[in-house]
Amino acid sequence: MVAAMIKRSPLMSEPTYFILAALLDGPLHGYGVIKRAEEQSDGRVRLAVGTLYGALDRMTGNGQIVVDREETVDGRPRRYFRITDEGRHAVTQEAERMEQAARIVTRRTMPRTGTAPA
Amino acid sequence: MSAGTAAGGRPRRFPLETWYELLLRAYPAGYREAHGAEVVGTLLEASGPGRRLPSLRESAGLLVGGFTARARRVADGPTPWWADGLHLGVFTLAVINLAYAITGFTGAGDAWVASRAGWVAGSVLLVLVLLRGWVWPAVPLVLAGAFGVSRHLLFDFDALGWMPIYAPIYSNWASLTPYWLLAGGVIALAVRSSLAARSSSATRASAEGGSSAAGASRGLRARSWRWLAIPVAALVFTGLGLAGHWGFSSVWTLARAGLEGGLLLAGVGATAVARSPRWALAAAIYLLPGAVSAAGHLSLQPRGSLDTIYWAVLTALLAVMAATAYRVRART
Repeated sequence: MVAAMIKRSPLMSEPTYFILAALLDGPLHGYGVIKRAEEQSDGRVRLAVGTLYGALDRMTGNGQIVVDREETVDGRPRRYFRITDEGRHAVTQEAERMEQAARIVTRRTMPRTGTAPA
Repeated sequence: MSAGTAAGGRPRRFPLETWYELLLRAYPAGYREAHGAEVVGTLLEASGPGRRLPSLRESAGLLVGGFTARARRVADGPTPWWADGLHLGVFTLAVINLAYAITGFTGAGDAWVASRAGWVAGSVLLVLVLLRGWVWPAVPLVLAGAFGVSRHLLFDFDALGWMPIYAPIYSNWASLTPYWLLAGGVIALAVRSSLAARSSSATRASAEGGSSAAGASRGLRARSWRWLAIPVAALVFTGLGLAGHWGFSSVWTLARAGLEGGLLLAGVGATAVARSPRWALAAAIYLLPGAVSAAGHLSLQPRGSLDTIYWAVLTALLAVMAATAYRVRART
């Protein structure tokens, strides 16, 4: 059943997942998303700016995020993006899917940790 | 390192900012106008102090992002995917026809009659009207071309004795495929344009304001002027003697095969990111005449193992593009 659920759920790319996760605590601008994603992944996810804006445009089109407000800083425009209910639902569903997938492995391996012969 | 000021009075970071602005040209002009300054600002923030040149990772991200933005903009346009794909397919046939008209190549057993000037002029005109998306002016040109190249086989004219009319003479049916495919495609687009115009008028008559979307979807979008680089390259190849006898040499063939492979690969990428089958349709239209010729042992390409590899690669790329189109449409 878990395997069927994993298969049925649409896969979400890693950049999309971390961008949505970064926006869970509130609206952020482009560089803010890059920094937050890097922090939350312990430095593993470093989004290239071209990748970031491509994903932001796609997610705006999908209705997963919206532009919250625009500001001008040092003469440059800056958009702040906010996650929508749809985006929150999608990232939560993806987190549950990954948790279920991880549990398949961890429930078998975790109890043996520490008891396996050296 | 700062030098000078940019818009808004902020210090300009040379040469990093200039490099980023250059790389941003990969994006469509509309996107650059709307978000270019913001993207460059984010790039500068992400680059940190002291950096003078963009990193390979950011450069690749911008190039891929620009390509993706262009593909999505095309797919989001008002023209239905099949009409846009058909337009691109017949346009590429017209471009390659012009390139061969310039090099002087016809095909095995075929012949030019008198001067090529009229045929080259007509081929240039056809490329220009299709490039601008004007489908009706293209109809007489494609019909004249299709009947012209078919006159010997269709009407049994004594080709060499008859007046040197508009088109080379083809003495095999396979060589006629691109011209009739081109004619059929252009006529289908013209019929669609008329039907869409009628539908647009009916919409305008029934409801004010509903006509703008229908009107927008009626027209075909103009293609990039960069396509003209192909006939210009054919002109240069011919001028330098690299097109060889009848426009057929290893240099010319390799250049064409490389370009075809590159464009098909780009088509696979565009299909994946924009989730549209339009590029697969265009590629199928473009490859069909060559496949018919190859099947009839009348290929324009070198025969033997190289010929087999060439067709295997092109067919595989088309199959990948079609499979990508099917998968992404099934997922949406």
